[in-house]
Amino acid sequence: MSPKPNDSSPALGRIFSARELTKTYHVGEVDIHALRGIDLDLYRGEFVVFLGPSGSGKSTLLNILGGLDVPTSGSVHYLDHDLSRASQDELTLFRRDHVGFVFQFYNLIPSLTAVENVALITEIAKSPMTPEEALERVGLLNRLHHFPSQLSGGEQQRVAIARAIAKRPDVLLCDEPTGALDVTTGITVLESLRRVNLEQGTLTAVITHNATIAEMADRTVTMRDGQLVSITSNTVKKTPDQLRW
Amino acid sequence: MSVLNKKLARDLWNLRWQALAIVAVIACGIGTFIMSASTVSSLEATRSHYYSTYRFANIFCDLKRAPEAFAQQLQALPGVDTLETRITAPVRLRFSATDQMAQALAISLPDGSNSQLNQLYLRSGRLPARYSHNEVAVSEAFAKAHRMQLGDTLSAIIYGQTYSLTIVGIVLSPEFIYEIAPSGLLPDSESFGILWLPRRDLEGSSKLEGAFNSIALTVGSAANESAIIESIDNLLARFGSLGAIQRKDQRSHRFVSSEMDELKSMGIVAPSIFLCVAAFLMNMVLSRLISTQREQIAALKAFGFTPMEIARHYLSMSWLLACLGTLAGVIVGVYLGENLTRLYSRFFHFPDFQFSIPLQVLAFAFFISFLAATVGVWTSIRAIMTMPPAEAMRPEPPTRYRKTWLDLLWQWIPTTPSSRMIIRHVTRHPRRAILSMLGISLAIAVLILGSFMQDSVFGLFDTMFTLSKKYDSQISFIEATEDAALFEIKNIDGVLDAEPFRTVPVRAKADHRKRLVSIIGLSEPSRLMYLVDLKGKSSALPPEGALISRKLADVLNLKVGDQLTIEVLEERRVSFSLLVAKLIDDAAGESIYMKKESLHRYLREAPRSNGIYIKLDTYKSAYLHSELQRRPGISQVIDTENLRSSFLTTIAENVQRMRTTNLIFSLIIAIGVIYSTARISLAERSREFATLRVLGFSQREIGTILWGELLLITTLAIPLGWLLGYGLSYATVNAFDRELFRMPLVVHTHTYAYSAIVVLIAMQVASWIVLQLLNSMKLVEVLKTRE
Repeated sequence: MSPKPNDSSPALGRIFSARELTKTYHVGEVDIHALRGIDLDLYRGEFVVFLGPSGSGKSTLLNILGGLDVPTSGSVHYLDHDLSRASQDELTLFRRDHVGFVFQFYNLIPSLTAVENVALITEIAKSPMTPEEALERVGLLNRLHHFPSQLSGGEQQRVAIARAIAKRPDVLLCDEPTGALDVTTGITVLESLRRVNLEQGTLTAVITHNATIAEMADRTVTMRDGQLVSITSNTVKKTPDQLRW
Repeated sequence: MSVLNKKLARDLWNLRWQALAIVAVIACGIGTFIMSASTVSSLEATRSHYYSTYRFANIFCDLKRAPEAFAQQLQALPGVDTLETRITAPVRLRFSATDQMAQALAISLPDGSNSQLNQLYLRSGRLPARYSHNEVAVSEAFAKAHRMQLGDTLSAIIYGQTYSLTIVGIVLSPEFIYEIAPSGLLPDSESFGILWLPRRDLEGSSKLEGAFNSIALTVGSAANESAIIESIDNLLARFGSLGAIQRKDQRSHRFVSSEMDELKSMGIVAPSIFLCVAAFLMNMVLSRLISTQREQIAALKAFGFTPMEIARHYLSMSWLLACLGTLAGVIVGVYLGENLTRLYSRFFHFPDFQFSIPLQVLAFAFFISFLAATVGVWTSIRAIMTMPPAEAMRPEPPTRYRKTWLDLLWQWIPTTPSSRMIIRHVTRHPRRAILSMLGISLAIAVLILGSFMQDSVFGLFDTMFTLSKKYDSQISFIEATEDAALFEIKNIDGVLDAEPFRTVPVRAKADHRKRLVSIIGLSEPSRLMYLVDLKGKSSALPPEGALISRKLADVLNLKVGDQLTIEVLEERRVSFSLLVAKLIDDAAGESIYMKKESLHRYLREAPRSNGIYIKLDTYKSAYLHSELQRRPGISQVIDTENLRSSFLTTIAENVQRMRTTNLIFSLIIAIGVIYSTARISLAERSREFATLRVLGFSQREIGTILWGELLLITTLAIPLGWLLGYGLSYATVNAFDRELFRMPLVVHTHTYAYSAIVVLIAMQVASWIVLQLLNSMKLVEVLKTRE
């Protein structure tokens, strides 16, 4: 990764900085402008919620921040690494070392047990916690040897969170982590995310349709049609068990 | 064990039946490869060791008679290393216990010792002793066929004189690894064998005192064999030389070599078929697996697994299958190889012939199966490598169904919705449909390949015995005899018809090309010997010139209307130019036929013959044989019936064995391919089927959709398989198409039908297994899970 030019030196605690980010997909003969000029900074330890309707560009932005995709134009930096100019190998390494992902549909490996799904990641990480420790943090010590098909949706998502945090990532990116879950289960999952955020100081970015979740965030980013509509800071954060939807 | 390896093991266990199909197909491929490659290599090694230990000669020449002193001149030729003169003689044997007759070739041994060249391997007993009288060593195959024991006596007729010979040794010779009568097509140890007698005995009975009629010699390492042959031909011409030949033209050597060539080509064709099918299967199964695991792969990529690591994971799955298949293949190979070796031991006579797998064959077996596995999964692996993680995260878009030209057809042809579903599903996965079809068609091709031999061999049998040889016995004279002998034989009681023939050994030349062959002069019109081509069509002899085997014409680069030069290799050396009047595609391969009278004219001789074809009253054949035996001028009597039965027993057994093996192979391929296709189709469409169930389709109706798809693919594969099978059979026949032996390509309609029926049965079996699975699936549950 090429170092960022000196003219915009990183502010203290700033982890991501995106400038004039655009992303265009070509689907058939149609161009879809998923992102149309995004400027955004994300800071160490904060809990950020991205709100917006389907197609507003939330997932695209998260994919670019997580090094799963590259922007069409504009720049995005992780600390002093330029992600917009990184090669596929560099992006792989970036994800491997710094990013934890949580997906809406969990994406667990069905042929591996809970502990093995986590171990899959700890085997390739630099200084991971043990799989058991990660699962303990999401309250699943009693489910270590269950296969995904033997777990409820909330439990599967918590395994996915354990898998994401086990490598002690600097950033945790969650795409609709409660999208497939009922309220009670969703709250236990959010509780797990909050604990990780507080205890490890991991920058946590959560995409959701659900405006209620924004009440537990430090900041809320609202998007529409590939653009930022607003960025608001919460003065009072609720805990997940105070949320109702 | 790393976690990824655990995943691999569990994924494989989930796919165990499809994996088993792949492993079985690889095992067949590797098995046939190991069988043929190992057998070829042990044949080669055993033969060359035998040749060098027992000093097999490089050049051979038979002649009429030359004084022993002349050998010095031959020995003095530059390049000649060891030269040995000897005497050979045709022998007729009579077994009084069974009242059987047999032919043999007697070869002289130096008095009281083994020969210098083509030395004998002593299986039991000893060689005829110095100054002994009427002691004989017998070839092992011949001894076995007649249950001869040391100390038994043989009643042998040599040049009309009967001798009582005592068997003192059972031996093997590198000259007769393949022990076949001079004009025979197949070895038949009941009716032909080799005897070795002391030179002094054979000199006496052949009236060749102080002379020889055969030489064998080895050459120095840098010697020019063609030059030596030319010198020998020049020197021995006046002694009635039949032309010197190199080792590669020596009969036994040539048969063994051609068998090895055949085995080599089989070792390429059969494994290629199996490994292609294995690659198809790997491709189908792995690409399906990878597409269902798209999101898992995406997640792995998101977590920072490199594309290489993920590719290695799936590649190692296919390598593991290749490895298991190869190990199973080694077992199959050893089994097949030992069987083949046992079979060969009946035809090829070595002091010791064992089956063993050379290390490099084993290494190559692993290499080719890994290669096939890698090729099979390559497209899928590439897809994994290039799959962008963000895109893979989204579930795979539904297969795009579009209207095609087929839909235009349907406007006119009434079709049911389920038949449209069948056809659309097949045409929307064209690559997989084509791979399945290719796989099934290869199964059909293997069946045809296994059965066409039967059709063709019996076709050959038909041309040889039913259409061509109308005579019951062929009598050969020791020397060309005036036709007066014919009348004498015609008058023996029981002879219904008789026709003389004249055969002359010649050197046929056209430009620089030359060939040692025979001209056969036949009565015209002939009632007992028809010249029939491979298609069963008989050809009349042309009024002028000669009828020539197409194979010989090809070798000499001749066409109808050309002239060829003939040098007669009899005592009277005549040369003449002969017109190629007509060609014939015959089984025997290298002959020149012409009218007997014309041949006499060219030879400037009075009518004479080398033998007689006779038709006889079968009730009187015993009497006839005893009559013939009393006549001194006769060298051999060959009964068509004996030839026929030995042909049938030897060939029919082998052909049946091949048919059975190929049936098993083909079933493995067909069931493997159809089962995998069905499993994938079922997995892909379980949601679709579940929806149909919810909409009110019965289990049976859904089963019909799946079954219909398999039937469609199999039906389309059948004509393709016929075509492939015919093509492979054609290639095989052409591989056989050598000067020793030619075979017609015959594939009967019932063979095509048989192959189609077998594959349809395999389809039924495979679809039955998958339908059981469909019935046990809780389809409505399927709807609740996410694809």
